[in-house]
Amino acid sequence: MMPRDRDPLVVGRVIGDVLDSFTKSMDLTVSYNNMEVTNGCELKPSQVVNKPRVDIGGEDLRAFHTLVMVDPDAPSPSDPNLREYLHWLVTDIPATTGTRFGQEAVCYESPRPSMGIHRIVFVLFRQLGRQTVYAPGWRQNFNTKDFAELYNLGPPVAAVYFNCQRESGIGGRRR
Amino acid sequence: MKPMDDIWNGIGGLSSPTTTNFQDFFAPATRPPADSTALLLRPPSTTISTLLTNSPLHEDDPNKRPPPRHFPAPDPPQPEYTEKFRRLMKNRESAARSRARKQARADELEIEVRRLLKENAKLKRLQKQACVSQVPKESKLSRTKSAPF
Repeated sequence: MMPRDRDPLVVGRVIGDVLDSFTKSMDLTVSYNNMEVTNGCELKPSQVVNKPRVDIGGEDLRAFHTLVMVDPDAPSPSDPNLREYLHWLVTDIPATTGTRFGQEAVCYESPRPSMGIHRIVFVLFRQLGRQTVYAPGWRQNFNTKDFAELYNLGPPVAAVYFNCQRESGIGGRRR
Repeated sequence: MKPMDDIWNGIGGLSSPTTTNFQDFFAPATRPPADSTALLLRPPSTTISTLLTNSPLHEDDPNKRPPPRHFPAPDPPQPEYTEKFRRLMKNRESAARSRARKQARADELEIEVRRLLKENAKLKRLQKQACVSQVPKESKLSRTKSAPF
């Protein structure tokens, strides 16, 4: 029997499929329509049509952060050949503020999974300074780890994820 | 199909939820490189269809591949390459993901509950303190008519 690791990010395989193990050091609050996202909660596509409110912690307004939102289960968790699908990329977010104060490098595209139950992951990084981030040419096959390395973002400072499946019908069945 | 079932019943350790990629079961010669990105980008049908049909790769969905009727396999056929095996492994992975989802949600809720209980206790304490410090203030109100004007 495999030992239980109580970190939902590990149990949900976000750490493993998207990120390496890290220590959370910042507050990250993602809310859709005043509903805070907690790890593994289920949201419908209709609830995530518009970009969420994202507030981050920290103390120093001069510390800038990058937020990445990806779907590692695109197009389907049993065959995620588009892993990871980039839904949103916001940079230069000052600590204590939120995404509305940052630069939207890749605009928000709402998740619309057609097959299976997808994990949608938000990852927050601390930037070395204010920097220009070059948005990738396309959303699919994004790699958060490589991206972080490319821009010297270091390990994540926070992450949260939710589950999302097709609005109607059984999300998991494929015939 | 009975012999194959017996084979699977006899093999232990396959119910481990850590094995999320059924390619791990293939012989080392056919195993894709250790780089996880390449692993995920290459469709699983690559290895199987090249072994079975010797024809150009079938597109996309491995479920649409025709069953290997013309393959002169020795009897009984290799269990790893049949449709039944693939379905079995996909179902196992799906079940493992489902369990992981359920467990992750439960763990997160536990953490939330503990955090909320703590916060609640703290808030109650603060409220109590605030109440206690308010009462003596009212009795401090005194001089009203002794002003010099």
